[in-house]
Amino acid sequence: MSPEHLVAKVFGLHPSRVTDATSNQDTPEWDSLGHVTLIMELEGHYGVSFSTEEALFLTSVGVLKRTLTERGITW
Amino acid sequence: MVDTAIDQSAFVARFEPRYLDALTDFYRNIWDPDATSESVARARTRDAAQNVVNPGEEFPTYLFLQQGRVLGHLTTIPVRLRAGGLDRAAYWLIGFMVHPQHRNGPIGFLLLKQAVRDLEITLSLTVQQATIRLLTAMGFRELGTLPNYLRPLRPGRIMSKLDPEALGLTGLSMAVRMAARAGRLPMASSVAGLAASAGLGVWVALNGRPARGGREHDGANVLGVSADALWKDCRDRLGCVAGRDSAYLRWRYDVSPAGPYRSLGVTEDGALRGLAVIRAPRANGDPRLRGIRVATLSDLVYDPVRVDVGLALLAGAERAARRLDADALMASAAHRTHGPLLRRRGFLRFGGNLHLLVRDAAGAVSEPTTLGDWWVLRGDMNADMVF
Repeated sequence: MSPEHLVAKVFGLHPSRVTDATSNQDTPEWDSLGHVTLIMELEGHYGVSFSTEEALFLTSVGVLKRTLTERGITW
Repeated sequence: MVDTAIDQSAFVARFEPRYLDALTDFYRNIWDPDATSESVARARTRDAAQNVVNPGEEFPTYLFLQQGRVLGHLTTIPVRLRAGGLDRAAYWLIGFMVHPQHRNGPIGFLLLKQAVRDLEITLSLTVQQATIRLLTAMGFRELGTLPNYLRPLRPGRIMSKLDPEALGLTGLSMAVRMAARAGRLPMASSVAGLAASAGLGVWVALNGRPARGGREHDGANVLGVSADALWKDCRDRLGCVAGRDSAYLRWRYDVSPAGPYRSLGVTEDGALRGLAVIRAPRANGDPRLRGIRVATLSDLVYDPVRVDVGLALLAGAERAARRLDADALMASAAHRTHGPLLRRRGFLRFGGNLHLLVRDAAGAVSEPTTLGDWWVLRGDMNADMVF
């Protein structure tokens, strides 16, 4: 599953609404609890672990994808 | 990721003196540009002296720190929660704030997680849906929304300025909304104000006039030792209630002439039978109020069986609010006896927005279980600072 689809699933969005620009600043469903749920979904789905500081900045789909790519994750 | 301290560059910590400068910076940025390390330390020391759960210990405060900067903050007010004839340590969660650049991220979740891990019984009054979602995910039970009540004191002044839509007032009838719209016309506001005053006067005379016999007293001495006897006498008839002895009341409410609060009491045969605390309208209130000056009924302590005492307290609170040049007196009250009492004194109910949530990790407070069992007013958790 792509990061876009995971984001759509966690926040109950239609996948077509999710782009690299989708972020916690412009998505009302993306609140603190949703953010933590998303991080846990990413960790479980891709078998990675994020530090608290990393989680602080994983606030848009573009950043999420770049961080996963840097970890060698493909989808 | 969900652990609260898995790395050293970003973590949640309970406040310690070494974080004082970082905490002061956060206060300066978010709440008070004049805050200094000295003023913050002084306030914390003052609070510690009134800690009713662990006397002398600073109130638990949780910080999210990243590279030495505070990005999130959650503090508490320790209280002795009285329920079922027993006192238990409990904490109101207040000052839940995340730096604007980091909202909707993990900080709020991590702060709350640490707080509920440390504190067995936690209470919250909140208006934010995102916070309610977070709290319920942490095991809080939402008991409901505190009903709001408004007692017009100067109806003409209110009607010339009131805009229910701008205020987001829900639960008003079509007639009230239309009257408010018409009332903004200059002549109409005077006429409507006189009519409303007369109508309220008749209603209160018929339904809410206090019985003769009790004597009303103003002043700070109401919060003195006599308040302890009052508290002991009535605390087990208030349902579930955060302790309101004289030490708490004096710490919580600054009733000095320069302070924002005024207190009054009702005595009978020389004994204090009830007390009320009113917060003065804020000098710079909510701009949506368009200059309407709203005082707040912050607290009430009396035996709810004594309806005559309750009515006398409300009548005194209305007079005190008028002396503070308030146009209206606002109350939010959870307890089932408060609604009928407030309505008898001409308070109008409108939609509430303050949600009461409770988390009891030990299951110590098995009863009461509904909002109407809780003696909660705006003075609890500093929720009276809005207007």
